[in-house]
Amino acid sequence: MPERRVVITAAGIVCAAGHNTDEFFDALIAGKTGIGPFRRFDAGGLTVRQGGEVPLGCLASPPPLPGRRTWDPIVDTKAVLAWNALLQIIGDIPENAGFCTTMGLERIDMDAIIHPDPGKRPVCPEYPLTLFPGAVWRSIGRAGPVSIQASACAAGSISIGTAFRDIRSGRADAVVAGGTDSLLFPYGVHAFASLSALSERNDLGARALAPFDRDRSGTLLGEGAAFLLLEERDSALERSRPVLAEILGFGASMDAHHWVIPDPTGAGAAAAMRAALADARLEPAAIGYLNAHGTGTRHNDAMEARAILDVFGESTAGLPVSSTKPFTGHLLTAAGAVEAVASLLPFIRGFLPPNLHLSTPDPEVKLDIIGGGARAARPRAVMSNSYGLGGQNAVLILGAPDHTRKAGT
Amino acid sequence: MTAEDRRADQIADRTHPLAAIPVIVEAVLVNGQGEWPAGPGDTASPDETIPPRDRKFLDRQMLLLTRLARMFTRHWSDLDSRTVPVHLGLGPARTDLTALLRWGGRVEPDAALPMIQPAGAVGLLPNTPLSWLSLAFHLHGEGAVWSGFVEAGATALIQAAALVEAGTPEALAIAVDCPDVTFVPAVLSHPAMAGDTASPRGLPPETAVALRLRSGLAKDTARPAGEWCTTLLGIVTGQAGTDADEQRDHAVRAGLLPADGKIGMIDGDRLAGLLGPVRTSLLPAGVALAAIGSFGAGLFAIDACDSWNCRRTAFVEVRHA
Repeated sequence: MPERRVVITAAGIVCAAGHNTDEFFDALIAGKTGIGPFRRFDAGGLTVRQGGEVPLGCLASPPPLPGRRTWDPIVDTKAVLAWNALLQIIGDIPENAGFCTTMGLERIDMDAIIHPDPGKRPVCPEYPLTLFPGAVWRSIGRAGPVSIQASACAAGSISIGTAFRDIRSGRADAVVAGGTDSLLFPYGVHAFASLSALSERNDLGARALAPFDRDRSGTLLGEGAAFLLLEERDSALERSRPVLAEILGFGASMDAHHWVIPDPTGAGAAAAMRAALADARLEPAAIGYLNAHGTGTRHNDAMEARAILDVFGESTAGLPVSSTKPFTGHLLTAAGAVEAVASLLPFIRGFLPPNLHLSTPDPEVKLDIIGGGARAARPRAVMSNSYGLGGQNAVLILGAPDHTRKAGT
Repeated sequence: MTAEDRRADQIADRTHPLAAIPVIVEAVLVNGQGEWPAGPGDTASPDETIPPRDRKFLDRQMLLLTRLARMFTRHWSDLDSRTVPVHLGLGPARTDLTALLRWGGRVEPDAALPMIQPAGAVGLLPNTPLSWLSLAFHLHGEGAVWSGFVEAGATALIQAAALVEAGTPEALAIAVDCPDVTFVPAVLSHPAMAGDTASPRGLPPETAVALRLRSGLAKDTARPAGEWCTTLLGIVTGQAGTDADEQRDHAVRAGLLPADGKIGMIDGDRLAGLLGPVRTSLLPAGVALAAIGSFGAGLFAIDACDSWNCRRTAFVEVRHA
């Protein structure tokens, strides 16, 4: 039986840079960041006071689910974000589709613990995250299996990558894959800041998040959700579904190096890229754009640049690279999903997203970082990197909608 | 029936088979009832072997995983840690119960924030148990963590088996039930869960299971007399609501079982009688018990239904060499 091909036929997204794909793509092309001061809570006592916050007031509330009649966007942020991203594609989802999502950390609302009000809130006020994906999936009448991917900042890409495999192998015909996350509450921001991963340069505003810049000072948190509808290609074409892109390959690895710090040699990151290229049966030179993990931390960006050079070798010179985190902040488990949507931009609009806030390129980073504005280009294949705290690495390769595989493959 | 016909039939039934080729299964398992296979070396105190700098990150779940990993690295000494993929199913909600109880209503925000230390933050990351395994046992292959109740362990098993089916020489599926760090906070916060997603029989017992899955091409590899040889024939995923006979019929139509094949059904109740009411590890633990020889020789359907009426049924064939 010929290998089944997997295409993306719909995408939904909510993040600081846009509440749907059109808004998000407009922001990427215009170079308009969504990062700003936290407005949802008093951040005066925190060392980090800005990030990629989504205004929640205009978002729809998820439907009533078993055990949960109402939703509080402040407390149930991730569920609300996920629901609003799903709503954008809900009409396109086949009845038998599966659902694979990230849900980030189970949130502990420290305010509720510190100021308990038994009459209003339980100890751990957020709807248990494990219950949400299955409940919402059944509530919209979809029958496929539900799974929750939890591999930290690589989870969004692993969610999409394993869904891709499920369809390619025939275990599924359609899967909605992606993720949702938010750590934008005092306890979450402080917990992440305690890892020394966040930029405390509040004075710089959004420019504090500057991946691959010589003076980069750390990342900033964001929040949001993004989901892709993955379908078997022939089935999608038979039903005249629009093809946004094809998924060509997926690879993953582990650093086995440190609890938090990535392997400085980039060996694990490179292994994941090589695995994805092998899975896609592509040579490095076939990749026309690379969406980097690019967190803006000293450790990650140096490691990632080294890994890219290692994998791409001479092809690095012709490989445009950017991180889109300065638009959204770091969405943690949802990052890979949001960045997979960003990686659709070249196929849909014909532009490569820029790497905002690159003032002084790091001389140690010998890559073609897309400084300035968006760059017009229509690559045939793009790579999206995701590297998780703790050393889980995942890489996706997407192809243009009319991507042609070599004969016999 | 051609493969295409079978596939069309399965899709019509909303069932999706796995494993066009058989997958050889070996297992190690730790449970409150004991561990298998037993042997010297499992009694080493974690404190003696874990570097002091790492101890502060380890919770009970990770100690359980450490014990499990010591077992499988000893029994499977030829495991290639540089390449073997690991899919790990963990319970939901890695919340810090100790912190909840310590802080609950007794400190002011300004006092609470400094109490959050890097070790605590790392401990809350959902992938930290896998990070620890990879660090301690030098695992460099593909790694992924799945969260939830029944579906987490089932997904870990399905994804690991799928890799072998696709040509990866071997893969590990690991699943853990550890109520200390997973289940208790969820039940505390939502007592209704006890009658919804939790078993009325009580909290799951501490259980950790690792399955080593290898290509069925190695099926005929000679084994010492007396060993159990277990083959995972496939995993069918579908909507619940069907009974055991219908599940068996699905397996026959999928070509996983002969039409006249006799089959033993192993469901959650039967597993609970052996292990206690395991949840996250339910499907992998059922396969492990089959591999251990707990059910004797024959064909078995290990059945696990998640909270969302999605059933995963693993079909295994157990022989005695």
